[in-house]
Amino acid sequence: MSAYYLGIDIGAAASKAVVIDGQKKIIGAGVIPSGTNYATTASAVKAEALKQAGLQPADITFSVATGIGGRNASAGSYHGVIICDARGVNLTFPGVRTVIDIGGQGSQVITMDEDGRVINFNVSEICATGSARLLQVVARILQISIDEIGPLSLRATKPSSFSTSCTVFLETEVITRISQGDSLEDILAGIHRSIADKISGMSRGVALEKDFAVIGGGALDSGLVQAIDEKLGIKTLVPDNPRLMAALGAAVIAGEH
Amino acid sequence: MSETATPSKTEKKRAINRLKSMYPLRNVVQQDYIDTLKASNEGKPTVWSMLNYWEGDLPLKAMGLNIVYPENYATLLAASGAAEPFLDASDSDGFPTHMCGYGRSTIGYSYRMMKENGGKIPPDAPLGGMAKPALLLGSGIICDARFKWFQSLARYFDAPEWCLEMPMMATYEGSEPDLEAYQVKFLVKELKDFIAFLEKLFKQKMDWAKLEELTDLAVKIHETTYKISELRQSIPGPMHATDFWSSMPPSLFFAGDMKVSLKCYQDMLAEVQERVNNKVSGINYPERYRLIFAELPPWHSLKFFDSLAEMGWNFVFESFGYHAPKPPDLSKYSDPCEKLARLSRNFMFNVFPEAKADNIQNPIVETYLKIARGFKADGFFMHPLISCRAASCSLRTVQHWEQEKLDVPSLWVEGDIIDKRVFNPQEVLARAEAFEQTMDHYRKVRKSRGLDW
Repeated sequence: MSAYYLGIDIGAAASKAVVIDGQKKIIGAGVIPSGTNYATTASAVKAEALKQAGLQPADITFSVATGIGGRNASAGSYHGVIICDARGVNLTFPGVRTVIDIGGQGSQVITMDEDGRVINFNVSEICATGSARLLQVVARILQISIDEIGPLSLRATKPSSFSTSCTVFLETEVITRISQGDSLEDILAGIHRSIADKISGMSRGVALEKDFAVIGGGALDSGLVQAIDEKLGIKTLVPDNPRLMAALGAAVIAGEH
Repeated sequence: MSETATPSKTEKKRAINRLKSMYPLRNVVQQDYIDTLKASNEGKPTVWSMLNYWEGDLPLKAMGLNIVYPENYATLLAASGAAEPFLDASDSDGFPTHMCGYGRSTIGYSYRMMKENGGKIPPDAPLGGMAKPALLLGSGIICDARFKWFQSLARYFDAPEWCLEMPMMATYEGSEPDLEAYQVKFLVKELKDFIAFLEKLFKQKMDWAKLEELTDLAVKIHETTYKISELRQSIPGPMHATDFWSSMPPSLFFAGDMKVSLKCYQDMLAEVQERVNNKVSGINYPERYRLIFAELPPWHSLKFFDSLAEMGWNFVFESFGYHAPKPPDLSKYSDPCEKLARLSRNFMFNVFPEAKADNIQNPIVETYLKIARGFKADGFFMHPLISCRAASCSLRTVQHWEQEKLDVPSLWVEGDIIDKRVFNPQEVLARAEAFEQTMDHYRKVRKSRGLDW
């Protein structure tokens, strides 16, 4: 009988599930909004990943949950998202030693060894500064979809300047920039610089080593990835499914159970 | 179960191996609140006193005045889960939510007492509450928020506020030997002015013999607590941080009867020594990691340390600002005010000199480097507070130099001292799991560098 392992990541904004087989190959995955009932969300995202894998719940050998709501997921065990991020990226890009995870409510910079074991990390503080939450807020104000942010920002000619990286205060400043006639593209590029500044600050506490990867929902924004590259003077790798990395890492850990 | 009782045999094994000698010290403080309230009901005045590093506590005690400590009371509010209504009351009276938790909770207490309860103690106040003050004793040291906080409290009660000053800490310039005489002279004048004010306000004379007796007792208490701190460097760490926090007020504020406190600390010293002799740990699980806590604890969630103890995390030292350094020899001074001035100055200037070897020009950083070496720390648990710049602003620098000089990493956990609503224990546990890998890594790095832990 084949072995299959499930990883579930219940994040602040989105929940993800990944099913891998005994060779650590992804055979099913799901992503849904986290909503307000993490237990229900966990069941739903798990069902989606199982459906894609063509499996039944009983086919899963072991499961591991992670993320802020992961303890509600009724999985076999729970591990923190930092460890899971590292393991997921280690499987995807074995040469990566530094991971920048830009999540829906917080971000983290993680360094790791060749086995995906954590060397050091720095987590964003209690506010949402430096997280993808800011992108959601700005998309709402500018009346664009979140997917449009990256491509638009890459067309900026004179990125706007913001005095703060605080999500709440920045909302007000974005409105000020609109009133001052800044273009949509320049405002978005300025926002990206603001987040990149925060990520740069977070990276000071850890000794960055190449290769670098950006993961999490923020990694889907090509403009933000470019801003981080420019700020840190690095070239980052982005996985095909950057939001799945923690769930993938959880599935890998499940396979070691 | 009474506060002084030891756990029964039928209870689940506790994660932290509490010192039996901690309970009587905790009781000294709690009894002090009860006694002060009783005295107030009998018409005796109560003084609200800020942490002032002993400058003002002893003159008050020598005059037989009853003292309560709002900072300490705020920790009781938090630890008993009663803080939120008081925090909310402060917010509703227009004070900012990002203000010091000690300030917020006791401003809320005062607001509810004077504006909502007609001068009566709020019914949900733990330990019967703090009686209305006849005097508020502030202190200019540590931070400006404290200074303004007591001014605000005084307005609720229409009570006088006296503020004691002290030469600035945390600078090498202040530690220059030539300055000592000026600093002592300044402090002696502060004390004499304060005592004159007390005599006028309470219409009674200072008992100078009593002040001298209490100063001698203070030295003995600090000699004892210093010896306890030194013993705690043993492996396994014999005394967990939570025992220190629970037992520190009779040393930090001189709360309660100081003769009783001295006996209790001597008992604690004997118990810690016995643990060291027998290699008994402060946690009931194998000591896997030795942690230093910096700086002010989450008073609302001290039980959270049980979860970390179950993981083998022993908090072997903590909160250097709460520790009295080795006391000076005061026997050659005859003026009681000078004795007290030198004792008080000792905290501000004598914790640092031994730590200068690293030549970083930051006394707090160097003190923590000394502590990390002495205690063979595997990691720091940094607890920066949104509401406290004074206790938070040095932590990043400490983190940097601990890593740079000693390869000792830090876990960064933002929180608050009083408001538990900003604390997510599950999130911290998730980070703690990753931090174990970090501590494992740097343990190997330190060994490769020839460091002995």
